[in-house]
Amino acid sequence: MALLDVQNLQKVYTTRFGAQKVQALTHVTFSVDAGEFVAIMGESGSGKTTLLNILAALDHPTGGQVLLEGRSFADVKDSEKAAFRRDNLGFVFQDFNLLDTFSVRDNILLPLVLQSKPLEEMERRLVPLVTRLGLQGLESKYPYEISGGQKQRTAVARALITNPRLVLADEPTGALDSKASAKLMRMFEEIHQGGQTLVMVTHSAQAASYASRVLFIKDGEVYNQLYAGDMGRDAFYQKIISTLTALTDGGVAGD
Amino acid sequence: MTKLLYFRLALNNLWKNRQTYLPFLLASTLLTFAMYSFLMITFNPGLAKVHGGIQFMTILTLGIVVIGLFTAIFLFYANSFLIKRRKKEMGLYSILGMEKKHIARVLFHELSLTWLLSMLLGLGLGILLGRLMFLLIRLAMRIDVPLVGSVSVTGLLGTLGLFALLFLLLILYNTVQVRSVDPITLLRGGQTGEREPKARWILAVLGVVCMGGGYWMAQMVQNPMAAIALFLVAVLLVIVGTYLLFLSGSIALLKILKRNRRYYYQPRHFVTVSGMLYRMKQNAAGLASIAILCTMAMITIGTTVALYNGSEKMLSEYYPSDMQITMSDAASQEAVATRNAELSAQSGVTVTDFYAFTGYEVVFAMDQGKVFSEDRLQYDNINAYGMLHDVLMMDEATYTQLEGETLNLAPNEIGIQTSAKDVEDEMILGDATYALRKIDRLKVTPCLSHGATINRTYLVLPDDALVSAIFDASGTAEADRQPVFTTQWNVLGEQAAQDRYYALVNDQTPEWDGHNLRVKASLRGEWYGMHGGFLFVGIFLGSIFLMGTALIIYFKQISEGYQDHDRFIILQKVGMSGDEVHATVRRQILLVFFLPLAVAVCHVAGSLHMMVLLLQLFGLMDVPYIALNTFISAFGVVALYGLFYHKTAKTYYRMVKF
Repeated sequence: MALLDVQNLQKVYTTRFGAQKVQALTHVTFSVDAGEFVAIMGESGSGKTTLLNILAALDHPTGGQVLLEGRSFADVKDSEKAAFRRDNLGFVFQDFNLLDTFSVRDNILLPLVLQSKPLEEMERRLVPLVTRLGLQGLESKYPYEISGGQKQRTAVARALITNPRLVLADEPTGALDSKASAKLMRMFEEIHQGGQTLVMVTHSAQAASYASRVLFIKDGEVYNQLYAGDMGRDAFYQKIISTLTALTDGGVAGD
Repeated sequence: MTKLLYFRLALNNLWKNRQTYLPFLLASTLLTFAMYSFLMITFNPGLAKVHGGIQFMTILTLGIVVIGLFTAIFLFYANSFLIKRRKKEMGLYSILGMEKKHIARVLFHELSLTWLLSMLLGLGLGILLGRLMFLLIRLAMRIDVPLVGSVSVTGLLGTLGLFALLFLLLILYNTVQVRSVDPITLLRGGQTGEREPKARWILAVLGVVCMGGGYWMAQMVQNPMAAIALFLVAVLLVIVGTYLLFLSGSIALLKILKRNRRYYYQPRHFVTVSGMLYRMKQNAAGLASIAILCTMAMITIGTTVALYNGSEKMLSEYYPSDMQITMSDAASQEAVATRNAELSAQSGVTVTDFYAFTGYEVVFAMDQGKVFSEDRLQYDNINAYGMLHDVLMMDEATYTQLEGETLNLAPNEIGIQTSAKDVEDEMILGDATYALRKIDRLKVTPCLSHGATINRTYLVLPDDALVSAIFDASGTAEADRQPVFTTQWNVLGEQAAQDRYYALVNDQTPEWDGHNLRVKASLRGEWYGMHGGFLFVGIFLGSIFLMGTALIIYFKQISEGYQDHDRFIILQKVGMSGDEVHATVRRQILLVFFLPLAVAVCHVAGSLHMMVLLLQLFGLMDVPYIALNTFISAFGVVALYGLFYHKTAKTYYRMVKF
């Protein structure tokens, strides 16, 4: 069974008085197996962010459903949503979303504190994670004292510390320079190799080339998908680029 | 054309920032109203003619000074808060190509507009409510003289001038602030936490010293004169101490809490503690200001209410008889009785409790059993004032005449009744020592002239010759050793008859003029004039302090709400539930609100002793009564404060909600 099952997802935004309807997602179906690293690509306005928000249980679909390990998001009560997100999902955002009132260490520990984990447990999980993400020595620094790349790695550590079923990343390299982006993506790759399931929304073909599979979304539908397979990263990158070109050249979904 | 552009930009800015500018405008309007009202009342020509009007004017003048100072401080505080919040906006303007002088011009227009609006609204309100003010004053002072609530030119000009000056200073300050705008850093947003103040141990020690000093003074002070002298010092020390201790204390406490990891890493405390540490200085200053304003409101309202409510009690204590007159010879004293009999018959009142007696009235300093005449006292020590007594010496026969019972004093014994707290057991006159026998209370208390002294003492002498011995021992000049011939009586009857009687006393007794004549009815008018004036000013000022408190709380919560908004959204994305957010917010606000309130109550309790002494100057001696009134007033303030809490908590929660 797939870890994440997205079935016939639809999202229609209605304006205030119902005069106008905007179809953000028309028909999205895909599934993610445990241990996969899936990148979702598409142009601005293609519905990527809507999709990710629904996957993050931050938004409700108007049709279809999302299943995590067979359990539908719709079955999770609103009052349990926060806990559900906290326990099952990890998030990495484009603008980091670190809290400037917390040190790096406290930012990483935040989800565990919200889970009321014992202190020893927090410490036990923190130490290897900090080493793995190259954040040693920065633990007591504050977000405004570190670089963008370091901030994003802190955010990644925060997403991983709960050992989530699924990590959702929204344009994680969007605010980083190419060097920091490459470093971050190599870390994602390592995390993926460690068995973590990741779903990442991105604009960047470079970032997407680290994934094991790339989904292309256009006009609210899955337009195409590519598997990395045994392909080298460069070859995969080339393939992504050409698919993107086809996508922008006006191919119609379902071709 | 461009001029209009700046003006419209300014107008637009005020509207966009209305959530913070409206409270500023409101405060400025109310302060304008307060200033105008006080000026209008003080310069009202009718006031001088009213009983106690002169005293009331003195209090009002004091009130004007307090309002002026408060206005200056408050406008600067609020303005710096507003300008700080808008630096980002200014950074954006300068990136969009506005020069600093243009930005300054927009700010100039904004403040001018605010000034104009608050003048229009505040003065309009002042003129509109002028009649109401006078009605309140008449109620408080219990006078029925019509005071005209006309438009006061002095009030208008004075208020316009003062506020124009203050706003000019604000404009100047803002212009300087614009100069320091660096668009890049501003746009990036000042998302850095506040640093710990340097030398916080020194601050802490200084705070403890100031606070301790202030409290110590308030507890150690012995008498009203010393209290007056030390009052301002103690107040300043406590204010400085409060600021320093809030600063160093809150930071130290938060750091200890953070270091205690079992406490810190709990969902309940994690966000609160780190959030408060993040803006520790701002927090401390805000909390200290709230605490001090609350204290001021409680004390001002409490003491004036106590004084007003205690007026009747004090009157009967000081002036036990409705009428009293002191003559310098026995013949005049007899004439008083005859004249009064005529007057009472003419007006139809009944005269009761009529007493005529002789005694000696002097001011003595009494210290360790010795007496000194007033002019021999060394004033180098403020405690000396506490030794001063208004003394009435009478012989045993007079005592028997007044009280209807005999003391049977031994030749070496003196009877004493005094309002002073500590009384010696004996009195040393030259070589001789006399035992002092205390008399609990006098049934018929003869009036003593109520001077600046605070102790009233009656001495009953077994022998008339002892008078000279006491005068000799005290070193009283020969000229001051004259006996006084006092007559006192009560006046009963219908109101109309009483009115007739007092009118006759006023018009038909030229021979009583120039003597020490005390008509309780008119003294009551004076007292209520003065205490009512105090009450009016006290409640007015207390309300202004409360308004200041409310606005500081509002500004604090709004500014923090904006900052916290993004933070709580992140927290909710990361998995904090709405309930947890609610709980955290409640906890945070509860702390912010009730810590200063607790400190204020503490300050009020600490100031009580000093306040009691100060109220003694006005003749109010009853300590439990003062305490009761103060704490009832404090409770009123707490209740109002709770209301602010409720409102602000709601606004804040709405701001940070997902």
